[in-house]
This record gives sequence, structure tokens and C-alpha cells, in this order.
Amino acid sequence: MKCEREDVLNNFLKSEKFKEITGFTEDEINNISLGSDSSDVFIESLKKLVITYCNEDSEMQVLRAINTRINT
Amino acid sequence: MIIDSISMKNFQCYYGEHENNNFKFNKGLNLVIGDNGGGKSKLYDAFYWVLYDQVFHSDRREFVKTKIYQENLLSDKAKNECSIGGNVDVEVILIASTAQDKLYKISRIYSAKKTNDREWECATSSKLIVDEMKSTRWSTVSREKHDSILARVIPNHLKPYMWFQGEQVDGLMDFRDKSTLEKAINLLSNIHVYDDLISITKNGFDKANKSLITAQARLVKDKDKAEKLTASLEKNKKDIGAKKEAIEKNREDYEIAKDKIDELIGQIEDAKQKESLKAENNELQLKLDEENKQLKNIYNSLHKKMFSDFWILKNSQKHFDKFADKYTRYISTHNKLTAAENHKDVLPVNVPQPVYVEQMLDVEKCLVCGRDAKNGTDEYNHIKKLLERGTKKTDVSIFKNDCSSIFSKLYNDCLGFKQLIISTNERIENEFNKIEELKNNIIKYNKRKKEISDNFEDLIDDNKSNNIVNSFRTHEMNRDKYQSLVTSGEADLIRLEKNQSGYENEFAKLVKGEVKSELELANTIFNNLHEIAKCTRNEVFNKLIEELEENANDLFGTMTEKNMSITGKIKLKKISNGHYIPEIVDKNGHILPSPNDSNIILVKLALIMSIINSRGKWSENYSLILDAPTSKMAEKYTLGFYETLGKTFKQSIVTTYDFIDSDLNNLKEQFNLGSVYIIKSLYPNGDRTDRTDLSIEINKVEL
Repeated sequence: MKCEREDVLNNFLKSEKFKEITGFTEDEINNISLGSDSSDVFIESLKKLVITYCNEDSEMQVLRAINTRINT
Repeated sequence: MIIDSISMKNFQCYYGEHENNNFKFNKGLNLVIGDNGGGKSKLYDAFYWVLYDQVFHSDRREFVKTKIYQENLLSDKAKNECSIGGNVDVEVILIASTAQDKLYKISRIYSAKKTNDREWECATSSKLIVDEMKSTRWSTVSREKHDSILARVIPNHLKPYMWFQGEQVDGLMDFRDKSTLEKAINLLSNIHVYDDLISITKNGFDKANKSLITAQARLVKDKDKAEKLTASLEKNKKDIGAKKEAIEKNREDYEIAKDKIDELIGQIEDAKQKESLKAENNELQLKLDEENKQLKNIYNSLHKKMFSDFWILKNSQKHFDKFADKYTRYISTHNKLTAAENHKDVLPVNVPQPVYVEQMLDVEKCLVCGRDAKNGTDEYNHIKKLLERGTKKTDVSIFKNDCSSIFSKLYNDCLGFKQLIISTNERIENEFNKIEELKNNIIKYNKRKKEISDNFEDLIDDNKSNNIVNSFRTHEMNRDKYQSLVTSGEADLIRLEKNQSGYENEFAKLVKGEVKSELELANTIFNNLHEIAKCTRNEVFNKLIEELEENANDLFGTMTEKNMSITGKIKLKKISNGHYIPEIVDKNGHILPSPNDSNIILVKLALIMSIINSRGKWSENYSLILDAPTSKMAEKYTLGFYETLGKTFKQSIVTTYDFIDSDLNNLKEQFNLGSVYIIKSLYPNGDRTDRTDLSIEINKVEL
């Protein structure tokens, strides 16, 4: 079953652990979306994880996509 | 897909051609009403057979493949009428449509040849034909696409929860199995997405961490030590994993022992005393947990208090006084010497005036005392200094090493600690008094809990059942044992995690130079993603449970609102290891004692329907097919049940004994009725024991 990537991303952003690790404010979190680019490599890595997984890519492809993002 | 129709030819009791054994279904609740033995279960079998090539074997109480069932699949009447050497063909045709109104016809055919009066030569397997409607004609679909089309009629993972018989409900939602609810949720919701993401991020972190350590190892000079540390890190990591698992297992066993104790206590007859003891025990346990937590926190913070609360300054008053005394004497001497130097120039600055001083230098003579002051002599230099007074301060200190500013700062800073030093003893004493108090309370509460436990044992003993008493003691011992194992396991875990940090720090010290920043970044990012994935999964699951509980109660409420017996509501209670179990509780949240069987069945059905509805809208896209779901339900519950089905599912097809003598026109709107059929077994020759005469009469009810 293909997952709704917006839903998955939103659930990650609402997580208490996300707020604890990133220290983002509510406003900053609300500005994060799949459509907009941010300069934060962690946020972009998270988006890559969600997008590639929801596209039904394999695990190898998902990890490769994230690593590519980290290295650029 | 939604089911449009099903028709049968010589399929078990459905003797004859397709046009005589045809059901057309609509949206809403479709009922096929029949008496016992009227063909209801065989209709359910037809659905199963056409899709899965399996039939329910009544003797074995399980589904079996066609090649095992063989000629039992054939209508007895058709077999009887068939001449020796002739064939009987069995067919079931199912027509279903997708949400986009695409039609599919699924046909399964099986054939057997009569070799003599009693024996049949059966085909080794049935044949499946799938056709797709293209414009106005059926077009055969290639075999490679069969599986995907069949899965679209009803996905395999949904089948147990959307196609079932009444007697299977208990097994679908077995409340004795703590993982039953979680299994259903994992299967039917999208929680697996988050499980996958946890797994992916963990693997990503493991790989990134390994790459980082490998890169760091290349920068290490002491290879032997690095290798040993790496091995220690790996082993310690495994030990941590094993310890966490052991703690979880012990926690689960502790909860099981506790549940068993509660169960046995539940058997005590003196309810009032039992309740009072139970309440007191629960309260004591809460207090114990709180005090233990506080004690643990205090112990954990004790060493930190050496610095955060300045305990390290204990008994340092005498040192402070000694320093203060020395400092006072030092600074007094320092000031005296400084003052003496400053007062060397006894004349005021402008006396004599500079013009006269210059004159004295020109004439090389003191005009005050008349002495000669030749250039280069002390007298000359002294007169010259008078000229320099007030214009230039001497920057030559009289002290070789002037530490006065350092000592002053030290003294002033120490003054700030004075009060702390004075009160340190008192603060330390208070802290340890607190520890003592907590420990005494813990002893007191444990003692009282033991007394209560003994009281329970006496009460159980009164029931004159040695087994129960022995069981009670065993479970108590287990409870204490596992509780102790959890506590010691947690202490071990802290030690192991501390070791892990130690090894990591030691390793970091060996690394000379810097690894690529991307490696460290990848390590950090994957670690964080993994931590967030775990937390998100739990939060999504807990939210799912909340929604399930709410939806299940809505459905349960609708199903039970028409009857007057006490019904309660569904509570999903969290137990050990993150499992949830359903309970039926009253409005105050207390478990209802001995709910009736119908209540339990309805709770299970409400939960199943709630799970199906929760995500993915299964109820919109697939048909619910039930065979006699109310067989174990009291009559007064059935109206609510059917009404809920009609409202919840886009299409449901139910075979039932209910309403056999009812006029359903009154219930058409309430149930959102689609088609209604009444079926009954026919024995034209009048002998109801003669299966070779059996066929089914199907009548559509016009609403």
C-alpha cells in the first residue's frame, strides 16, 4: 500500500523527539513542507527518507538518496 | 472491488445451471436469508472457492484445496443424474467492479467423470478464467495478471477480517491473546510504514556508524589499542541490546504474574474486604513507585551535588579563614609599602615652580639650599625629577611580582562562597535525612504490602482450595523475582551504557586528525532519524488506539442502543510491552463483571469494523462477506448490528437465519438494504434425507 507522504512527514514533524532534537519552534516546523527547500541538511534528509520510501523505492535506494543529500 | 453478482452451476447443494443459482448484489446491506441447512454456508463457500480454490471441510473444520475435496464439490443431484462415463461440471462465476466501474468476471471450473455408480475420476485441479469487460465484450485476461486481479477483489491481508463466518469471530479477536489487537492493527492500518522507516533508519545508522569508525580507525596510530576498543565497543553494544531485551521480557513476566495475582484475588468471595485490601495495595504501590523513583533520582544526583551544590566545600571553613587571615596581612603590608613609595615626593608638585627648576638645571645649582648640582650628579638628577613630577607617573613597580590583584580577586570570589560553606553541612545532612526518610517509607510500605498479601492468602485459604493458595504464592514469588530482575537489569544497563560512553571517548582520544565531515554528519543524521522514527511510530500507534477506541465505541453504541441490558463501553487498556487489550468497562471505568456472550461478540465485531475503517477506507473499496455472523448473538442485538453494517460498509453481503419470517420493508431505510434473497432447500420427492434430490430455491424479495 502506497503511503501518503505528506501525512508521514507531518507525523514526523509533530513528534516530540523531533522538537527535542532540532529545537525548532512551532513556526519553523509549520514552514517545513515537501514542496519547499530548506538549507537544513537534516530536514532535507528527512524529506528524502519520506519521499523515496513512499515512492516504494528499495531500502538501498532510500539510503543512497539520503547519503547523496548529505554529501552534497 | 464491489461484488456485482455470483452464480453457480452444480456447486454442492446448488444444483442446476447458472440462471437458476444466481444472486445479484447492490450497494448497502445485502441479505441472503435461509433456514439451517438452506444453503447459506455453501454460498459463502462459493465465494471462497472461486477466488481461492478452497472449500470449508465440515469434518476437518478447515479449508481444503479442491484436489482434496474432489467430487464432494459436485452437486449430489447432478452426480445422481449423471450417467456412467459422463461428466459433471462445477462452475462458479463472480462478477465484480472496481471503483472506476471496470468489470471483471472470475470463473472457476472443475470437472469429474463418473466411472461407476460410486466412483469418480476427478480433475487434478480446477481451472480459473478471468475476463475483463472491454466496451461491451468480455476479453480474457492473461494468466500473469490473475493474481493481481484476485487480490483486488479482496486483498489477502484483509480477507480474514472482511470475509468470515460467525464461528470465526472469537479466533479473529481472542482477548486472551495480548497481541491480538496489535496484530490486527499492524495488518490493517498503515503502522507498518513507520516500522519500515525504523528499520531503514537503523540500518542506515549502523552503516554510517561503521563507516565512521573505520575512517577513525585509519587515523589511529595505536592500531592494537584501537582494535581492542572497537571489539569492546561491538561487544558492549551487543550486551546492551541483550540486556534491553532481557529487561523487557522480565517486565512482561512481571506484568503476567501481577495479572495472575489479580485473577486469583478475583476469586475471593468476601468482595468487600477484597476491594478494600486491593485499593490499599494499589495506593501503596503508587507510593512505593514514587518513593523509589525519588530515591533513585537522589542517588543518581549525589555525586553531581559535589559540584552543583558545592558539597566539595564541606569542612573548608578553616582553609578559608586561614587564607583570609594571610590575605589581610599581605594586603596590609602591600598597602603600606605602596603608600611609602607614593609619599617619597614630600614637596607639592608645583613647588618650586618649573621655571625655577629649569633655572637650577641651567646653572647647575640648587637655588633652595645653595648646593652645587653638576650635570650627571645625583643632585642634578634629583632636581630634574622635580620637573617630571605630575607629568609622568613612574611605571616601575616597587614589587618584583605583584600578585595583589590575583589575591584580591580570589579573596572576593571566596567571599561569595562563605555562606555556602557555612550551610554545606546542613544541606548535606538534609539530603541524607531525606534519603533515610524515603528508605524508611519504602520499608514501611513494603511491610504493609506483605501484610495485605498475607491477608489475601488467608482469604483465599478460606475458599478451601489448596491449588489456588499455592498458585497465589507462586505468582507472588514470580512477581517479586521479576521486579527484582528488572531493577537489577536497569542498573546493569546504566553501567553498560556508561562503559559504552567510556569506550567511545577513549577511542576518540586515539584518533589523530580529522575524518571527513560527511561521515560524522551521516552518523549523526541517521542516528537522529532513527530516534525520531521510533518516537513517531509510538505516537502514531497511540493516536491510532485512541481513534480506534472512539470509533469502536460509536459502532458498539449503535449496535447496542436498542437493547436494555447493561452494555458498558470499550476501553483499550495498555499493558506490558506496549500491548493493548480490550476491556468492557462501566461509565466509571471499572471492568464489567461477566459480560454476556453477545456483548463480547459485539465488542469484537465493533473492534474489527473500527480497525477496517481506520485507514485506507477498506469499507469503501471492498465487500464485507459474512456467513451467519449473529449465530452466537441474542436476538435483541441483531437489529443494531445490521444497522451498523448498512451504515459502515459500502457493500456487505450477509447470509443469515435472522428475519426469516419478517417483513423487511420496514427496515429498508434503517438497514440501507441492497438486495434481499430468501433461499430454501428443495426436495421435490419429499424425502429430506435424500441428498440426491437436493437443490436450492432462490427468491428475490421485492422491497
